[in-house]
Amino acid sequence: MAAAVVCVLVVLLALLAPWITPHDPTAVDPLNAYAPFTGDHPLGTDDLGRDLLSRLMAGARTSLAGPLIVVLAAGTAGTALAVTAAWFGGWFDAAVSRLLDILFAFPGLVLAITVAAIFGAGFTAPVVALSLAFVPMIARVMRAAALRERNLPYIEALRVQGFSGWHICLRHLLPNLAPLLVVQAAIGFGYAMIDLASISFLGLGLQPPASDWGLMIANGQPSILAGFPQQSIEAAVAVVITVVAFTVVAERLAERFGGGVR
Amino acid sequence: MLLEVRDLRKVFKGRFVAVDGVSFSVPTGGSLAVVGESGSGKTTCARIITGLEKATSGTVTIEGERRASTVQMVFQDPYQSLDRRQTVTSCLTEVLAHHTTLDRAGRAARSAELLNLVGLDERHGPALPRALSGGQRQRVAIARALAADPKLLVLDEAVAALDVSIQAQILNLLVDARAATGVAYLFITHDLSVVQHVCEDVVVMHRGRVVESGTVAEVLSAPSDPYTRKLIGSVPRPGWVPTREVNRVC
Ligand SMILES: Nc1ncnc2c1ncn2[C@@H]1O[C@H](COP(=O)(O)OP(=O)(O)OP(=O)(O)O)[C@@H](O)[C@H]1O
Ligand SMILES: [Mg+2]
Repeated sequence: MAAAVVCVLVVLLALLAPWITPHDPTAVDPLNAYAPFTGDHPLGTDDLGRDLLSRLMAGARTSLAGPLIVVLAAGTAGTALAVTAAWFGGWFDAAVSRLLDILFAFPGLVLAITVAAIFGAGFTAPVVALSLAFVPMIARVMRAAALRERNLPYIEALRVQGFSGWHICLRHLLPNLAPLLVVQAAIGFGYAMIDLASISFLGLGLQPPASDWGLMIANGQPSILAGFPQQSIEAAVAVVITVVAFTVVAERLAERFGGGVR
Repeated sequence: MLLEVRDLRKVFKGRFVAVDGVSFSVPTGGSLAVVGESGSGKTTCARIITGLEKATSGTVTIEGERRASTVQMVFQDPYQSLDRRQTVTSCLTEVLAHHTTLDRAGRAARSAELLNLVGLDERHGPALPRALSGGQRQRVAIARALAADPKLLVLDEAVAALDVSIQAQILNLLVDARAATGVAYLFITHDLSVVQHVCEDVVVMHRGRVVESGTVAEVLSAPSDPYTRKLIGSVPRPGWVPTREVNRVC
């Protein structure tokens, strides 16, 4: 329950950030650098005197949007692939499974970093690369479930009734797989968030003055040496809390719907 | 004849002969039982007739064109043959939308009628399968099959998974439904004792072949094949006419 509340809060913060940040997240105020925690700056300021709470809130947008796009894209592609493979079976299924196994063996983060290095840092390249990398993870789980589902007698019953494969897949198979897909997406969301934060941390994601959480962790490093670790710590805590909250919700959902957590 | 099965043969994996030259027929509105022990090829025949499996050789002809709506099937397992996410009403209206030209109101009315026919009522309409007992689920499966207005209903061990008292209810329901709709039955079972209640004719299958056929009365009272005799002997039940052999033992 608490985890679900945290998820909702984080999402609300991200959505409403432009209207509710106490300060302009990019407003530089050198006289106020490394300000202590006060009512005006509850989480302090960074080396340029920017309000850290405002920056975290603004950064929540890209920090959540990235993983969201990844799980939506990978979930759609992975499920489509999984259901098609399970439905047609035979050599097509064998080929898809083999392909997924090979892709699965290839670390997604490495792929995403490579793509970002080749196509340039930013938001799009890592997100697209990570979406591709997440397809096998989701597709493998969904294929196993789709195969089980497809072999249940009710599917044959529907075929005897004269319904087309399209109808059966769209109106029966997919809705029955939906709970598992939601669980997979919620788990994937946590992984994608960490991966994208890592890419930002490496400087291959969003660039300053954006306040993506991964980027904030990286940019806070010089300040740590100066004795002011708050920026890196606060951004890291934001990542950890969000990832844990989404993962806990995913596991609750899995228990509820009996979906397999890998 | 409504259904004509001629020299049906099914070989699995190129060597295992599950059905070996089976022929039988079901007249329009008739009711044929297919009896035989486990593994005798009954389900395989049913799956070929309903188009779920291809025959290795032989023919299945059904009067008129071969449309799905002409043949419907009720499966053995009432717990798994319904979509667990679909309410009873939605299950029936889906079939009606596919097989009839009824409008929304017409479909609702017809599904209420079908529920009545199988001994359920409107209260069960919004229920999901998990809220229903095995017997109730099988009633839904029968209503769903009848929704397509089929000429032939294949029932593969349709009561085998149910308690004996529920079995009797479903068998009665089947008798009533046939009287009300004129649908023909291909009633598959390994249990000879349920046959006489529902069917007029019977074929006995053994190892993929038909070893005996005739009316139910003939076959039960004067079985000609030793396998049939064994089958009858193995299911002594109340209402059975004791054979002389049994009397002599007493
Ligand atoms: N897909 C299949 N592949 C290989 N063998 C099969 C297949 N389906 C059925 N068989 C075999 O064919 C034989 C006949 O099976 P079938 O299911 O038709 O028997 P049945 O009379 O319906 O038996 P039961 O009373 O147990 O349902 C069995 O020996 C079975 O193992
Ligand atoms: Mg069988």
